[in-house]
Amino acid sequence: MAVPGLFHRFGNRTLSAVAAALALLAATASPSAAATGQPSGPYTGMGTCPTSSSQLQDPNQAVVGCTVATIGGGGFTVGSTQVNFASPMTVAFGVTWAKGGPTVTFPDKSTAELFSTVTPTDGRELQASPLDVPIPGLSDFWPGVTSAIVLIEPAGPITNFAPLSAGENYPLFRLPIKMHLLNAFLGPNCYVGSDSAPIVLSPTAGTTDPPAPNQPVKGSTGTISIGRDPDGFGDTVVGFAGATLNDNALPVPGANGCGLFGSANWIVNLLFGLPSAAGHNAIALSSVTTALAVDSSDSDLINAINATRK
Amino acid sequence: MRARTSALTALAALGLVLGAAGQAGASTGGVLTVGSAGGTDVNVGDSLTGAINSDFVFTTSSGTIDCGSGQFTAAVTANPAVGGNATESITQLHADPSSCTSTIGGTLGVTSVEINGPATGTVVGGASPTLRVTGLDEQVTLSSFLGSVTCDYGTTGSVTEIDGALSNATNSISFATQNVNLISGSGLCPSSGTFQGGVGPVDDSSQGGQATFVN
Repeated sequence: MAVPGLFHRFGNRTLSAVAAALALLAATASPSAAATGQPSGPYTGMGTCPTSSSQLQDPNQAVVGCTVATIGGGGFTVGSTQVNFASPMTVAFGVTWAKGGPTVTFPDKSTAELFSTVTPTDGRELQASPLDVPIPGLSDFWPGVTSAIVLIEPAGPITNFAPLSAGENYPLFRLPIKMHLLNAFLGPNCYVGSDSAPIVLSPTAGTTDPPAPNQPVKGSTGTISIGRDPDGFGDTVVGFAGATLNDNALPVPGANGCGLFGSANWIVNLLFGLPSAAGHNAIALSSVTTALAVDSSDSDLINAINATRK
Repeated sequence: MRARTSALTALAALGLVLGAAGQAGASTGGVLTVGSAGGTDVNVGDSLTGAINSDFVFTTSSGTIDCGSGQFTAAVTANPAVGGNATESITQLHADPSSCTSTIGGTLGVTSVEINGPATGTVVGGASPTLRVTGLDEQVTLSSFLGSVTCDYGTTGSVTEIDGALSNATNSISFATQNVNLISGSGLCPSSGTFQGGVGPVDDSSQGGQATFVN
């Protein structure tokens, strides 16, 4: 009886006050919790977008935005070596375009703005899982010894990002990469491509125009969606789902840094047929899903993204 | 002095010839007439003009573009007697971008709506007079955050013509919903759509802006 009496003594008014205080506390805590959560909805995956960077905050920018893309499949061919991407890769970065900035005009008179890109806050513009690449002539029974583990690493910023070229026979972006070869006999610094002489990917969703012996390959924009911000902010969110991008006009340079003082470069070059001239190589990026949020105002874009944080 | 007299005589003679030609053009009985049904014929070469009197509406799977003002211009290339078909070269099917709105996602505005090269209009008289437009290429350019997208729609593939109803009551052309196909453009342009709208009154600007009638 005493316990109920105690509760009774506090009375409904006291409980209501406590409940109200808790509710207020919860309400006060909500924005903070929301701001630290990950963006959701159309902004999923854009948590590392560099919206606070000097580039995106530059008032001279006419358009700023965030991009995240997942590459679900595909592979590359270098000479006679073909490797499929076993795991998805992710590309994320911020974009800017200043008024009067570079554009490209296509034969159909459409004009695409060429965006500059800004590295995401975690510095991980390109995230790719290691690939197990068999060494020609060897049975791959011991990955890393009888094969090379290949890490695809960026060799510079993505440039000439042209989302509107998705419907054209024109590269969607220019991505310099290098392949880091990990093998017990090649040492830790064995690369194909480098920051100064990278493998440059210029994939298109249209039709490629490679030198022989490669033949033109047609890509696909997949399903395009264009929408406004769900919370009424001023940005536009463009989505490409299931796109296929190809580049089969790229040259691949020789190896560098393999073995002691590069002593094994020639072995890598011999095994993989490097350097490999344009027309003998290809990269295909399939099941590409891209979300691009663009706005004329960085602060509006930040608010739009923050409004979806959970 | 003699030379000047000769020149004046020549000019006078030329004036007489041109005048006679003008008189010859003022005939009747053509498919297209001015002033009234059965009135004076529209001459070959006359310029017919009219303003949008019913919004031009382009609809695709991506959304709708609606334009409230613009201009139609055509040059008459044939105007036979009733029973035949008059023809005209349509050189302008223009909408003023400032009068246009777009519901297409991601677009910031309409940059231009213009005919891309002349189309052919065939005027079929009778009880249900009709303007049959072939060879139409209407070019629409939209601006967006990412650049501008140009799409050309018109008569191609499964769509061989679009038809507009002609009215002598309002001297106008009325296009009910007409199918159009993508002729060229970005891969982002939907492959087909529809067009509707109206133009009128259509006047013969070569004959003092008189209203045009079909017989």
